[in-house]
Amino acid sequence: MIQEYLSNLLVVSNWKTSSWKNKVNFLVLIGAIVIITILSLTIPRFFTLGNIINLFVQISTTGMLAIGMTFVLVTGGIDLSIASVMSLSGCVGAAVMVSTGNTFLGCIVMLLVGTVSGLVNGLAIAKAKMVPFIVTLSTMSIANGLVVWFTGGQTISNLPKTFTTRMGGFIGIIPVSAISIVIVAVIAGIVLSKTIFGRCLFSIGHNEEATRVSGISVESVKIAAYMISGFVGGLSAILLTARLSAAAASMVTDTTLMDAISAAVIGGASLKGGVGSIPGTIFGALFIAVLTNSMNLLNVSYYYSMLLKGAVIVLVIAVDRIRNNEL
Amino acid sequence: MKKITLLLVLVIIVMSFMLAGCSANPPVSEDKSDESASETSEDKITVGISFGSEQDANFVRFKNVLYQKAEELGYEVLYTNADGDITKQASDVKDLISQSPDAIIILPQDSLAIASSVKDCKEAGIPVIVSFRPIAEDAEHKPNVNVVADAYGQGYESMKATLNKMIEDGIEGSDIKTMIISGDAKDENSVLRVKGAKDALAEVGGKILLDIPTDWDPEKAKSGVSAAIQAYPEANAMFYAADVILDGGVAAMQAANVWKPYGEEGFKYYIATCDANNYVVNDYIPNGYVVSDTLFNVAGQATDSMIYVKKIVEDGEEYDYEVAPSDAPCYTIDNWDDEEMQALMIASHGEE
Repeated sequence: MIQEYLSNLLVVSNWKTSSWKNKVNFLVLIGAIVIITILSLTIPRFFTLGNIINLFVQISTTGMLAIGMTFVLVTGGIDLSIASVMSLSGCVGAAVMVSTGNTFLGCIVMLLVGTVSGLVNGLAIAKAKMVPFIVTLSTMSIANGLVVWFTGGQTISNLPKTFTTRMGGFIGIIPVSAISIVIVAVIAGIVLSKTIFGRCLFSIGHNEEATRVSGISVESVKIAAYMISGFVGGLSAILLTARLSAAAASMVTDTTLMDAISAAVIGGASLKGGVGSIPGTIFGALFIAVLTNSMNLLNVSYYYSMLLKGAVIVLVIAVDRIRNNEL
Repeated sequence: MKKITLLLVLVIIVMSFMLAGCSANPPVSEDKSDESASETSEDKITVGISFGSEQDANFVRFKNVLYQKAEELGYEVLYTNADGDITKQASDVKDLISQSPDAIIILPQDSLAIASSVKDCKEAGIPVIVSFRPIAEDAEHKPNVNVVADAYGQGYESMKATLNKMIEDGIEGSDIKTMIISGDAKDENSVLRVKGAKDALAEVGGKILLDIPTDWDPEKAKSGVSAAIQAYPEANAMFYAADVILDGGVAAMQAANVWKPYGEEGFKYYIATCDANNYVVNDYIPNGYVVSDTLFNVAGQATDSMIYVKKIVEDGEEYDYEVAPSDAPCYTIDNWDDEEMQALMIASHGEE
């Protein structure tokens, strides 16, 4: 899978004959590697064990959400609700855990809330033919409202120890969240690149009508894509709630959503659909995490880091347009 | 080729933002290529500061006082801002820990969720001071010191003072009908201040007509209060979770011609608020527009936080879990011009 991703990028060895998209992806990859290398070599204490572990923990939330986002982006859609759904899942699941003391039930509820939210998005988009941007924006607003109503703006804590120590802990020196993102990335990568379902997702992104004519149930595949996105949101809620030992309406903000979209697009997913890969998305999440981590390690003013992140997002959108020959 | 050029130009723009940012606030850590700078940096005490957000003037004032105090004490500061995101704040604290500061001051976005970051600091052997918000009683891990601003107490005391005034004026508890103008429903300071006000109201049997959420936005406060004035003509009291949203309420009341001082014909609303900004204490209260306002002692908390860093790092004092409350007096018509209270307010918010 990774080999395939890299070979697609490195096909540019013959610059003249390689495709335009591969050329752009190659340049983005090189640019990101150069930035990461410069930052990591110039920042003292970047390569300490503590900071590297810290980076992996930071990647887990953004990376997980970006994986869900990639499934949706590949179909030509977008899921703006994923971060808010994550907060809602975390709070509802945490409340169940606190009231029942049952960790397993709480985790199931988190996954269920995420998946059901995805199902609602999918039905509205695939069956009712509503615009993904508007539908998921509305779901985001609904999830934000629900979570504040549900928690009364207050934090849910005192979660079972078994949950916080197992899911928020370490295996050896490796955080459970880092191991989880690797497992999820491998499974998602196989589903996206090696299965018929994955090929259907790409096909819908390339040409929805042609896919429908070829006998594929476009609606079902789209609904499944949004359900996967919601499910992954629930999964990241489990990891994040365990990491914080608490759940709250302010668990994530719009920045998290921006980071997830940016990670997927930096990794090669197109906002127009039909393109994307999980290794690329994980690389994008790594890039975003390194950028944020570096800004903190360099003690860069908060305002400059906001400017920089904004500039990166503009760049990401421009890259997507260039990749699609629209600029 | 044009597209490649365009892409390169965009990359250069981003890189220049990056360089501008880096040069604007250089790293405080050692640079192996510059030994003299390294020595200076290593000699200094370094304090990591993690802000939950920097959304209003209180945070900015807090930050300025922290930096000012750090400069006086000769400390280096490492600063992060989580922009209201408790997950980012957890990551920020880990980033600070990886730079091995001598102490960390945290202004938590959430007083319960921050417990995991407190645990991280303690496990790394770094003293941690939580300021701006009280750490929740049931938080699993407590900081070495908690410089407390009691949000619940602010709401309770301010509302209580206004209710006392209403009862003094012969209004029965059951006839007190209050509009609550709250801040951000996700912000604990707002939630706790409103909770305090509601508890004070419940004690006298007062009624809450509605709760207007404003996200700390004066414009939202203005539109919400405008509508509420029309919808609830029977209201006779208002509680504002902060002075910043009182500004929006004042605009709405002026437009409806009900912004009247106490004792003047047409006076309608007994108003309680929080923060004790200069213009409220020295204008609205003495002129009878506002009944009570509790101080949010910004500078006091910031100064105390840095003094505790000194006590722990330089003086070797040890604290397992010390709660250091900051003064939060309630300003009313009876005490607004008290010299000590005036000095406290000016020290807290500045001359403006």
